[in-house]
Amino acid sequence: MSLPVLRIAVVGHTNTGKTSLLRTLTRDARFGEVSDRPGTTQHVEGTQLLVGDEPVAELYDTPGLEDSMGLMELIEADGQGGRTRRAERIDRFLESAEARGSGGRFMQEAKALRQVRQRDVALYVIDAREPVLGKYRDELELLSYCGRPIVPVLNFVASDASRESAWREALRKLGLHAIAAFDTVAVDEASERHLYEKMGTLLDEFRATIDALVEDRQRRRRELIVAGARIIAELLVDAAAAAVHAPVEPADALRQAAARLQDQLRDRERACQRQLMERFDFAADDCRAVAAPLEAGRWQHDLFNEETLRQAGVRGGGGAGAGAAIGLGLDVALGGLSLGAGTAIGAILGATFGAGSTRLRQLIDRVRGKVEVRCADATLDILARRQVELVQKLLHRGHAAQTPVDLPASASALTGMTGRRLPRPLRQAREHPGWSGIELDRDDPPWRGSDTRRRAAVDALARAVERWIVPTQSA
Amino acid sequence: MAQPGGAGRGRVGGQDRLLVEMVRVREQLEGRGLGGAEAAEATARDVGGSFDTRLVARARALPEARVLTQAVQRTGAGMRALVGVALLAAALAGFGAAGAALQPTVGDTVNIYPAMVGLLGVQMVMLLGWAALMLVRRGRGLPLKHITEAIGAGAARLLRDRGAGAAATAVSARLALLAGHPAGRWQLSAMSHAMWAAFNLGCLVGVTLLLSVRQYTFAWETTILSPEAFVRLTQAIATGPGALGWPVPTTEQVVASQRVVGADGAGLAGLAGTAGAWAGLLVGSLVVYGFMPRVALLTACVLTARYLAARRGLDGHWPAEYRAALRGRLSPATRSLGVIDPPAGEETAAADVSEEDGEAPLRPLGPPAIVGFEIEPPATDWPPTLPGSPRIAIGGLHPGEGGWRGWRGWWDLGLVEDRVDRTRVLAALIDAEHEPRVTVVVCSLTSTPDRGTRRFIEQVRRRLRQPMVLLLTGGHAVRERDGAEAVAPRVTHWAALARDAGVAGAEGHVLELDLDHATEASLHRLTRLLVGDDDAMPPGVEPGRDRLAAAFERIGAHVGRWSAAPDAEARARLHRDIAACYRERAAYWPRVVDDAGRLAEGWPAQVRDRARHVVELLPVRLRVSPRWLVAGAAAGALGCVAAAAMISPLALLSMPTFSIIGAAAGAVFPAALRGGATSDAGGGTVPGDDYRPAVEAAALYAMLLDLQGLDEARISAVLDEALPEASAGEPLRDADAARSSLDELQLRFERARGGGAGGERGAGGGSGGGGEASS
Repeated sequence: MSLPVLRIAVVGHTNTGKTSLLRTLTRDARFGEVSDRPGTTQHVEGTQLLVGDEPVAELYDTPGLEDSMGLMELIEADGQGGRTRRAERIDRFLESAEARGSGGRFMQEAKALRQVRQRDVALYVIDAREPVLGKYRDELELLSYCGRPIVPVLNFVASDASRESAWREALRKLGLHAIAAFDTVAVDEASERHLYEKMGTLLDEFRATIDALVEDRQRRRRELIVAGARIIAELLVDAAAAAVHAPVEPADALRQAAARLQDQLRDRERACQRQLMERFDFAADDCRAVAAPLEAGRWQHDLFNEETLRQAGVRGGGGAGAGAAIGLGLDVALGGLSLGAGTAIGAILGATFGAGSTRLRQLIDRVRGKVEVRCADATLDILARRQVELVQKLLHRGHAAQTPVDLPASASALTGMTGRRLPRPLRQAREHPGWSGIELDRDDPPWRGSDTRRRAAVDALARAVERWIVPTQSA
Repeated sequence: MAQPGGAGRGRVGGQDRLLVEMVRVREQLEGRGLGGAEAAEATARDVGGSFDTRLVARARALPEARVLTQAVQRTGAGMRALVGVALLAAALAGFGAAGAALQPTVGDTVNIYPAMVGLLGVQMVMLLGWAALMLVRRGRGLPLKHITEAIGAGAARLLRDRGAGAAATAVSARLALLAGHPAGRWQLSAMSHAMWAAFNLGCLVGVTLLLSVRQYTFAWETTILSPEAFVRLTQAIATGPGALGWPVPTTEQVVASQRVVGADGAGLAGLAGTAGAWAGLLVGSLVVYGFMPRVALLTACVLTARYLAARRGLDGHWPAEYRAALRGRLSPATRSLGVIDPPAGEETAAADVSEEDGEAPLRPLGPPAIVGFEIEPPATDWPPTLPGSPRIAIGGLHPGEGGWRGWRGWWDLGLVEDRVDRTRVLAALIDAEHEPRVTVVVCSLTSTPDRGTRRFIEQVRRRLRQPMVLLLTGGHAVRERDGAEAVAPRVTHWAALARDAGVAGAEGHVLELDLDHATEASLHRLTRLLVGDDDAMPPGVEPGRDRLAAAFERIGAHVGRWSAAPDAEARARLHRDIAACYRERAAYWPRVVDDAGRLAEGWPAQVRDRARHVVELLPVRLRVSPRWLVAGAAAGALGCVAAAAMISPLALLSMPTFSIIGAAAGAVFPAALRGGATSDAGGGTVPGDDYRPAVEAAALYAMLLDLQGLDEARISAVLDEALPEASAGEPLRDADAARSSLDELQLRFERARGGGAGGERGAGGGSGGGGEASS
């Protein structure tokens, strides 16, 4: 039942991203402190990785190794024991005045080495953009004295300046063959798994622990995708269903109504992005950064152009089949009637059919002297693409990332997205203005939970969105 | 109420289950957050245990829990009452059915088979339908799920409209629980069986009552069937009741009970006890085929529902994302172990004094030394070739024939990569006969300064009496990698390290200079630092200070020295001084003057081009104004001259030349320099008493230099905002008036430039200007 807990010391030169690695592995953007200066972390801080409340691994963040050369000189000066008793030399060093107290020259190094001596395995974090220097080789040699398996972790491999191959070559020469490449800022699913698996190759007794950990991480990732897809589907259904009514008469009224809808859609999108950020455990600061490009007003050009406004009053559900035919027939039939009669008939029809057909409703509206403004299909498409791209970015975003998520105004092309025709759930939503959670025209928010058909539509759409997020994954 | 303590999965009481479900309905379906959720979640995390336990603990810890629990109890009572009413109604229906079935057709004769079908047939069909549904939808949701949800939604909406929001939530939650799990359909089945049992009970009571107080004759009739069929049918039906002791009709009694239309009914009662037997069959059938199966099924359904409910999780039917969100908050993936080995004060800063090398010996001076510390060999040559010096590097320190005087090469100490290199360099420094005049340690900005580096630099410094320069290369790579804003903090960190190592002081320097992208200008800077020649910088202009302010100050200073409107030479001097304030922007100068060498023969064309270019930069509004046209042309022409003086002092041999240029510029641009309707002093050839043209041209020139690096549209926009109206201003006749006019211009410009930071950077060019930090 209870697996042996794998205890991992995370060590490395100063400012190579040890704390970043911990943040990313724990999905905790608030762990420790990260900055681009030397010696940010001065203490050892631990955290447990849990699988269903049971700790399976412990990670220990350590201060950076800064003066390995000086320490090597010190250790080499200790003549006792010879080559075979290096671990004892390390222990003697850890007990010495150099390592202890507030005056010790190598206190930081001592803290790191002490952790390595105490734990099961050491992750040696490397800034792969750096050349392979003598001081790093000295650090690796020091670590090798500690008598624990070492897994070098190449950080910043996604950078253009990465020297991954040079590092791999150098590490192999030092006899380190289980090397993990793991960029703490740009994470991909496989590299995290590989990192754990590399540890597994060195630590047979923790195989079951590592398997459980890897499985749990994958489950959490799937849950994230499902949850993200659901959040996006809610947004899209809300946006597709949202409609405002405007009187035909003053030309300005239509514009105002469209502007209102536009504002509310933007708010709704921001809310969706906040939800996504929160769900993916990213900080509120990053959240603000996501909203920023929208506040800069880029939407005006993309989402709500003149063409959209022109179409808004004319087309709705997009289904031009039966609905159009009925509408046309009624149009002709109503043609001869006076406005009063038309209004009455419209009211009766409205009461009878309710929200049955978009065409019909629009016809009724027109007779009543109103038009319905809703967002264009292209707008929904852009909304979908942007959110899907956000989720995809968040899935690959390390929790050590310091820069905000940059979401361009128009997302890059994604294949297999909404396509030429809106997905069925969205077409359904078009027919049901009541489904929209966006608070338009009404004082009290609609109670969305009651509508099982809306829920079914959201379910179906969420499954589709999952496939947009992870195209290869079979739903 | 379940005890949360040792509760495992599925041991949650009904009340708690409902409470948790109500919280979900509130949060997820009704889409409203509950206050105090975070505190409740903290409580739940403290409680620990399984996820279910935490869910219950969270729900109970919510401030709204009390209201919700009350609603659960209220709606529970309501629902029990509703069930009671429903059962009563079913029983009454059964009673009524009994009355209808025993309605005599002719006289007191009751047709027995239609009566039986009326009482048992319908419920038999319903029973078969139920069984079929249970078989068909085994393991799936309730077939009536959508209907129940719709009913529930309607009820909830009704309650909500009446202001009973919590009750509405409770109803929704109950229905959601019912619909969300197989146990729900067993519960609903039990409900249905209970109703039919009540119906049967009503029937039995009704039938018994009627049979007790009325005399019936039971008969059967047929048009096409044979009597044998009825006998067999009756015997089959009678098996059950007969076995349980009810009197059932014998074969003779069945045959005798046939009612033949037209015949006398008297024969029917011929056999004694026939009516009693039929009555026994009727009652017995009701019990055996109606009541008992329903009671049995009711028991089975209740037991099954209980069994299933007992091992049901709280969250089985929840949408994945809601469950996952809660799981993330209640059962986090990580748990902090806190700080284990805390920092013990400032240990690093005070250390490293232990190493003792003693005082560096007094030695004669040699050429500057250079050492590359943990850097890649630069893309250009190593050591860097300084302008105007032979490209010679020497391995050891041996003076040439003339000694070291006039020697401008390096003593190359090579690159330091590991401990062996360090030892070698330190030994070479202490062993050399001559001490380097200056020692340059080249470090890379791409790497983070660490204590090991600091120790090495300190060791180097201890071996020297002469100054040391920390040259920081790789700025371009950092800019590429982390953005331009990452460079300055890095330089600061390295400067701090140099300070800690005792380098930066009165004689020390830290210089940011990218050897991979070294330009003539940046190498000039290095040379100047090595030679100690710093003459070109006008006094009072410090790096980092606002250059524009300095430039305007210089204009003010010049104005103070004038007694009349300045001639071209004075104006050229002023422009050169302004240009000197922007001297670091070396990348800009070659753009101003394409080729300094060509200037000697081709300057009129150059001057004209620059003047035209500056005029084109002016916004259209100002381009029609003689005042700014004049200022722009003068700024361009004089700026060109000043730039030429900056980049190549040899191109213009001496200052008096300026007067010739001024005159020539006036000749080239009579329209621009003299065309002003209100001023004839613009050309500088006709000194008057209005300072304005000269002051405004100088100010415009300073602004243009300040805006370098922005695109031209932006420059135009800033100028449009900064420069006042197009019409000619009042003549400025003394220095005070000129200064106040300058102040106003400066204010307007700074406002127009806005943040201004963007312009600062772009002009830095490849060499990264402004990296000097000498303390």
